[in-house]
Amino acid sequence: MFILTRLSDLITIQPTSFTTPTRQALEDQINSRYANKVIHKVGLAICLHDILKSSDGLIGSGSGDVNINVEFRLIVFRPFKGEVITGRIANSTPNGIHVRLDFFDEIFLPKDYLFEGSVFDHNEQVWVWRTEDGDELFFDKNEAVRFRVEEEEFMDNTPVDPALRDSLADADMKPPYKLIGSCYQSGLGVVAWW
Amino acid sequence: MMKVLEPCEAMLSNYEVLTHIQEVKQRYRDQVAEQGPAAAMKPGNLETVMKEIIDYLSTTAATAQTPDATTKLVEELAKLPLQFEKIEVLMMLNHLPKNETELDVLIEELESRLSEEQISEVLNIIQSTARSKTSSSASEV
Repeated sequence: MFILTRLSDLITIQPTSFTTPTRQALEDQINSRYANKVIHKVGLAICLHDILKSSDGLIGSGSGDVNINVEFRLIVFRPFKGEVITGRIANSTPNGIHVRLDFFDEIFLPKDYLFEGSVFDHNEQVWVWRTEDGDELFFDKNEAVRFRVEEEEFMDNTPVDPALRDSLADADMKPPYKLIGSCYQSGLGVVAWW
Repeated sequence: MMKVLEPCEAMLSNYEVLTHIQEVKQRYRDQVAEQGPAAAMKPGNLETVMKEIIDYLSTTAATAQTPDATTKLVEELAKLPLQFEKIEVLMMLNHLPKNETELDVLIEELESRLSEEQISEVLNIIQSTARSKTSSSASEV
């Protein structure tokens, strides 16, 4: 689910941080730049793991900022294809089930990836798995659910002109990183079933 | 100017991530104690994601794991004459499957690779190493 990613970047420390020890100032800068942000084709960065190397600081002319080249590793959320993860059911629609982890919401289990015999109950707004034995098992909201990662989608959201942004419907704004999962194998689905 | 040097240098278990985040939180707490709250202002986005990761991981097996228990589990599994993939060991560590059905979703071709005896042996190892935390913390009390 989590990996270590090695990056390099030019980190700027402003004069207001000069009283902070350099190491701490660097860690804070790296975390504020990367924590909780999606890096395209890498995954959701969680936080700094460690700093491997840093150059001497170069003072920028005019600003007094110090620029430092830093090589570091981040903890990144990037499940591999086929990985089994436990999340919670956020909500269900006729198209499938939205699952969330506390720190990541963009997980979808499309209806074609649910157990054979699953039907959507429109009154209850819930997916129901009718098993071969005639049992009815409910994918209730907030239940812990185990799924397998099938696909991932990265969306390179180039910045949109702020004047245009308001006219774009929310539906047009694709999340930068999204997972598609499945629930059609014994052992997957609501954790309490097994 | 960001450069990705190595997209995936290693995989981390849930337990390792939880431990790291708890250490970061502790470092900030120590700083507040030593230098006062102003010296240890952490970025808001970091604060948010750390809380959410802890919230999530505290609902998983990671919350009850210890360094000894996780090392022991990996060592015991390696002793078996079974060729588990790294990612399979990682998932067993993260999920601590309690029965054959739960193990089956983590291990590809479980039934053709492992005999019934081997499956119960693997489940026993997982259960016994997972339990060691509970028994050791009980003896401390």
